[in-house]
Amino acid sequence: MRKFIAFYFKALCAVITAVVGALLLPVTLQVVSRYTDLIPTWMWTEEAARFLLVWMIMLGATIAVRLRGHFDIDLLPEPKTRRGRIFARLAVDLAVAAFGLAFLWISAIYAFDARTEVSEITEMSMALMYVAFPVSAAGWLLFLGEQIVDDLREFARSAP
Amino acid sequence: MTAGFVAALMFGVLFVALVVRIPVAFALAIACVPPLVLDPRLDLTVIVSTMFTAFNSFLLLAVPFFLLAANLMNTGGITDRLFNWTRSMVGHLPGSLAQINVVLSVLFAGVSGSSTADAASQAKLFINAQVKEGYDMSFSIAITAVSAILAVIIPPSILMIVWGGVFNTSINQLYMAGVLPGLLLGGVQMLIVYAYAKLRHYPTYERATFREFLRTTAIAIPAMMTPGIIVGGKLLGWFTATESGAMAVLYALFLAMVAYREVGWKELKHVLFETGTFSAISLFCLGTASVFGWLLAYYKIPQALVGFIAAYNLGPVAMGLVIAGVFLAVGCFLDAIPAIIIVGTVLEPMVKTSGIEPVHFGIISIVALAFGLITPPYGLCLLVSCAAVNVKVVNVLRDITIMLAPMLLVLLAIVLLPDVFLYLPRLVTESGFK
Repeated sequence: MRKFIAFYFKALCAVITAVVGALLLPVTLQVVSRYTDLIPTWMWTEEAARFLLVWMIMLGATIAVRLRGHFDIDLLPEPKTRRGRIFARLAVDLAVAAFGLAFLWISAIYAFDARTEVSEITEMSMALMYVAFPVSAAGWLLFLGEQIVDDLREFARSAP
Repeated sequence: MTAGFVAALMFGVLFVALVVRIPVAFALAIACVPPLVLDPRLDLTVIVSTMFTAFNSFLLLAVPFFLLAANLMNTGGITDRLFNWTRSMVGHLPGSLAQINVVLSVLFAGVSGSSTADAASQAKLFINAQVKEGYDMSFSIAITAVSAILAVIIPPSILMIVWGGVFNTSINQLYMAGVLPGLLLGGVQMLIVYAYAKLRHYPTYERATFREFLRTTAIAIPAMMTPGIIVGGKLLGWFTATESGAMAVLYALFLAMVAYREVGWKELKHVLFETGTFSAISLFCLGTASVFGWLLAYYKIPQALVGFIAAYNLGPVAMGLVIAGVFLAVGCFLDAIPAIIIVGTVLEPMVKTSGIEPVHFGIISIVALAFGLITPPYGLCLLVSCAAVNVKVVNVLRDITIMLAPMLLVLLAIVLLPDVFLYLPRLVTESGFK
């Protein structure tokens, strides 16, 4: 399972790298088509850019869960003991995981219900956009699960 | 459920979630769950649909583009060339390296719309170097964080693009409105450095020769063309805000990979990954903040506040002070983009009744929110600068407070002197110069 999680994380990192690079293409094509006769004015460019942006945000949010990169606020002092710190981390991870579970459920239903909807310009299935949400939520759960297991082991090892 | 009950429920859950250190983006989403579950007219799919509507925006593409351009500048040696130019201009002033730190932030702000990108790059470049020259650690961190906020005030600015999109305000006018406050704040920061340098005897470099100045200027010219592309292209109506970001990326790519040859494929992959992840973190938070903001609007909570404030019949000055105060307070706890969505939308109807011009509302809010980037507990520029050298935020607070005090006077001036600060924006429209 660990190997799979590490592989999945690497794959997500590779995909988001490619997506950010790909974002440039449709926007550049828009400018080129407006000021030159090299290419016609393609309508799909704006929709493609928005499609890539939605995927970039949701994949990046997933990667940030494993990197613990989402910003939090330091209002309370850090727990002084190691067990206290692990417990605080566990409480946060469990709360986010509970939300992630609900989000996975509702977003999967939402994407499934949208399977017959098509986009305005390219007539692409809207489910291809909406499915970024459950894919992301599943990633949160996978990475949070890994962190929760690690924390539980560390908690058990640090027993007084 | 009454508006008051829902507001108490949502803000109560949000507060508890933030206190136990649930990440802000998730805390905002979790705070939306109780009303969505309890109200039979609503359901949880509102979270997905509202987030999707927020993300599905061509305008928001400017966020990753500006970050990518800034990251390419840092990795591709563009910042280094600007550093040498800055040194030849202000290196002879007392507190030389700190003066260079401030002026480089002003130049960087003309290229990058992201303060956190500025703080991240300048923290690496300046803090340890300043400490080695004898500057105090807390001063070095504070001036790096404080100068980084200029990136969202001097155009281009991610916050102005988001503001323009959310409130349908001209981005061109917001860009122009940011010029004077940005330069004034930069000037104030140079004076602060001057005062510190005199009091604490910080080192001063020798004045660069005119020949040295000409040489560094010639080298910096290609890098300094980037603001022309981004802001000039937008103001002249050649590109949209998003397209100007993409053009800046292409130009930075050209400089970094072809002209200076400091970025190869390996570095490029790293820059793309960093940009994607960091933009996603900010934009994901914007998505959940949009759900929070949507629910506040659904229960007409902003209207309830409008009624409350309207009873006081505030004029433009008093309302301007309220806006500045509210955003300064909120900026301590929320990232700027979610704050615009949640608080800006609450304030907007009140502002309309008070007679403040939309661009004035925008620039007061953006400057106040920029100050929020250096105020704890959630001051991103401060956090990034402290993290770069592993110093606790609390150790820097004294110097941050000293530096912030004169900067607040600039914010006060923006509120009190609308005609002065709106002179430049009145020269342009959304399609270009008048």
